[in-house]
Amino acid sequence: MRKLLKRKSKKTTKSRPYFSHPENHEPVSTNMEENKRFVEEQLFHTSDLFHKELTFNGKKILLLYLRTLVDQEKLQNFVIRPINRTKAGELSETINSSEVINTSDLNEAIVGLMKGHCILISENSETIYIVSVIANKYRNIDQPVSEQIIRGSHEGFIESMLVNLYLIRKRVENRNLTIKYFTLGKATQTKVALVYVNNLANPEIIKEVEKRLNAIDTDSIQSPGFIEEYIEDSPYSPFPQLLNTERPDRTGGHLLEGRFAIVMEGSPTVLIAPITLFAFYQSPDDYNSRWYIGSFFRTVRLASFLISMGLPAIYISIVSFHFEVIPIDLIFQIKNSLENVPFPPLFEAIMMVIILELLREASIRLPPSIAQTIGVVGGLVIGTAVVEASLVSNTMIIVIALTAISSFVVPSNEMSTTIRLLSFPLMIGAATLGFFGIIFFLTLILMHLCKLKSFGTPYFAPFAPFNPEGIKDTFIRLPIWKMNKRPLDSRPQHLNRERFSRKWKKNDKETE
Amino acid sequence: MKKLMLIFLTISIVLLTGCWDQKLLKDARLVYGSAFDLAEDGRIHTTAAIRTLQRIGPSGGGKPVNELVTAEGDTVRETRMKMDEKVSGTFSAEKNRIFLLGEDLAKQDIYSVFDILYRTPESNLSASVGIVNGKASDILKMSKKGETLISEYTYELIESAVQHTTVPHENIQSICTLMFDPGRDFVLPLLDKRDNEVAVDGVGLIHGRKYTGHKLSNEQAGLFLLLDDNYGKTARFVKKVNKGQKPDINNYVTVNVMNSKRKLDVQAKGRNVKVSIGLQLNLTVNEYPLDTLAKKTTIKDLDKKLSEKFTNEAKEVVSKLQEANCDALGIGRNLIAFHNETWKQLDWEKDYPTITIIPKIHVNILGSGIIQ
Repeated sequence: MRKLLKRKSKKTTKSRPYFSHPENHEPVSTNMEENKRFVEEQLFHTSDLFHKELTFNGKKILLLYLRTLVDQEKLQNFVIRPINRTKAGELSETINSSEVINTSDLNEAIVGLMKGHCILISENSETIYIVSVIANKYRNIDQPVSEQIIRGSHEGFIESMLVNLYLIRKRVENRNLTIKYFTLGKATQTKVALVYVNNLANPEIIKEVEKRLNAIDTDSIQSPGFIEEYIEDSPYSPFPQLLNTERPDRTGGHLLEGRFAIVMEGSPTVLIAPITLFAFYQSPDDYNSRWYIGSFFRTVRLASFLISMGLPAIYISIVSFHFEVIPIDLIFQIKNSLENVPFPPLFEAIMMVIILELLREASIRLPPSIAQTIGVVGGLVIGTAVVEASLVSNTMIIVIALTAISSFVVPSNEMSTTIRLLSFPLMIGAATLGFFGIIFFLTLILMHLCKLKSFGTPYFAPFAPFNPEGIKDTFIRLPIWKMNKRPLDSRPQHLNRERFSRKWKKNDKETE
Repeated sequence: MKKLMLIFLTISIVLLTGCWDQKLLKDARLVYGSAFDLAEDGRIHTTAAIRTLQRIGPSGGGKPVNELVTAEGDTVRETRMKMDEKVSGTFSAEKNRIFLLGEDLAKQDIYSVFDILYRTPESNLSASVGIVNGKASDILKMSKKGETLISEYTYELIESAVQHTTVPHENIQSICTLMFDPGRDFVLPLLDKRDNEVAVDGVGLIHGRKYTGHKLSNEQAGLFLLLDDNYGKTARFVKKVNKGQKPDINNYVTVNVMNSKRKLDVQAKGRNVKVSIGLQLNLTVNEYPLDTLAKKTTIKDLDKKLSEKFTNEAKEVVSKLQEANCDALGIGRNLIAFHNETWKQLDWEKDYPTITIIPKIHVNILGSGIIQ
């Protein structure tokens, strides 16, 4: 096995990657036309490469840019107009942009073109000026559709990394907030930023994530999901080990608990780690409302965790193994609804779950106007017709509907899907061994949760390892002034985050 | 490879062993009530009322109907097996709410009938138990009482009697320990079928594992339960306190027990046991057409009359208990706990009927309703 690995690794180092970044230096020739031709050839005479000839200091200047990437107005105001007006002087001072780079490497100039810069090639000169005139086509900073809340900030990340980092910086105005750029993907050259608070995040964890990010060797990174799969600890675990979010407030909160965030250019999703299971059940709403309300919704959400995972399994085991636990007044109703159903309960449940997933999947892909029709057709027509035809019992419909609703309660989409997936082994366990089967699979899941780690920190904290202090922010949310310490799981450098904010009350009493 | 094998084995363990002890609710025929009778030559005759819903539409709901199954066998299990052969699906007694025993069978031995229930983990130990005057199956055979199914009706009958402090709250589980307790006996609700009606006919006194054949009437049973400190939710008594008033209804008073306080005092010296039961009853007057209850003298007069009446009746109850050799007040248990020496000297079976038990009831009228 080891031999095989060795041979493989040798092979990869030997073979030439097809999208290697041209590292060879291509000197700028004094012949302007020759430079132009080189650029055109390197870009394969792409049609959106525009050029314009200008005169400066009595010399011809060739302006090259990719029309599709460049903001016309910026180009006009910052480059063309100053040159035309000034006519003479120092070129780099004439141009009205904060980002002017001069280079003698044609390849660097081409990279600049690809990034939305324009390049200025002067006659009889070996220096090329690269000026940033990139078009900023952003959508608004809207509330993310997948993570809506009632009260609190309605900002959301967008597809631009710069804007996203701006949102984070604005939220955590602290000199310790550190941003580190990485460039991943040989073909896509995707910019990725690692964000953390330097004096809070554990340096070992930061070192570990840098190591993992640097190890990524791929042609393209298209979404944060790629990065997630490359750097997560247990790729075969059903549980997500990085938190996906589109909310700056959530990201800011986690950064201040000593975690790090990975922001990727071109995606509104930010990855947060190290994370615990309970973080998936926290919503900014919990902290925006008073703690009674926050605690109540936490409890509801964690109940939804158990319902969506266990309810179909419990129902199956009750109707096929332990019907004596049903109260007498209910049992005849349930029995009656089951009477004409020809399938075993497991098959019935799986059928309903599949119908439900189909409906869900169908309504995601369709435009909202048609999705409504799907809702009516699916919910009303199939729901009633399936019962009328005695394919599925009434109670099973209720059980599956409850399960689906509770799974949608989870504030994180991937956790919600995970939970629904985990209900399948539980259902099979219930159909084969009854309550015992449920306990068997739940034990396996619990064992896995206890073993699971996110960047070396326990995933099931604060329950395993048990930390009573941490429970204040899990099933319940105690008042903020009770949570004096940061969660232990992210191993932050400083634990204390709150001293004695309600000392005014004590002072009042003393003065009385 | 090893890992794959392990996964394969785990999956096959789960999938291959499963389902063999599956019992689908769909296939179960749920018994709501059972009646046991003594057949000729000592065999056991079981009647079971299986409750089903007559389906009206496809979406559940429906009219409940009873289906009666009977079988005769040497043991209860045998009758069950025979009944299972007679019904479609599986005969399941897991949700059985009420067990009725025929008089003759109860006089023989109660435990031996219920043995099967204590041995299987699925049986419903919170089911009610009742003894029926005559044959128990006669009640189930009525099938319906008004619009209610008879099994349900009987169960609710006993439940409401428990609330009215007419019968004790006993179930299969609770009587099990009492049957083997040398220091305590118990009573079971007695049901009676007259014409087309089922009614609670007081309680039957049990000694050890057998029904003695002695019984207390409803009124006596209520008093007994108060003496036993076993107050339900309400307890009402109608007593004649006057003579010669016209119309006759004016001679009576109906009282409701608000709360009661019992003091059981067992004194033992050598083989001499003296028991005094003090019972303080706080009452409200529910009905007293003669009125003048606003006067303190009337109240005092009533208090005195009622105390006397209740005490006399309590004496009667106690003598009945002793006559039946039924230590339902748990005096034996008290002796075991506090006068162990005496208990060891006594032969409780023989000595219980001879000990002195003096009940004393003190009545205190506290309320007279909302009219003055």
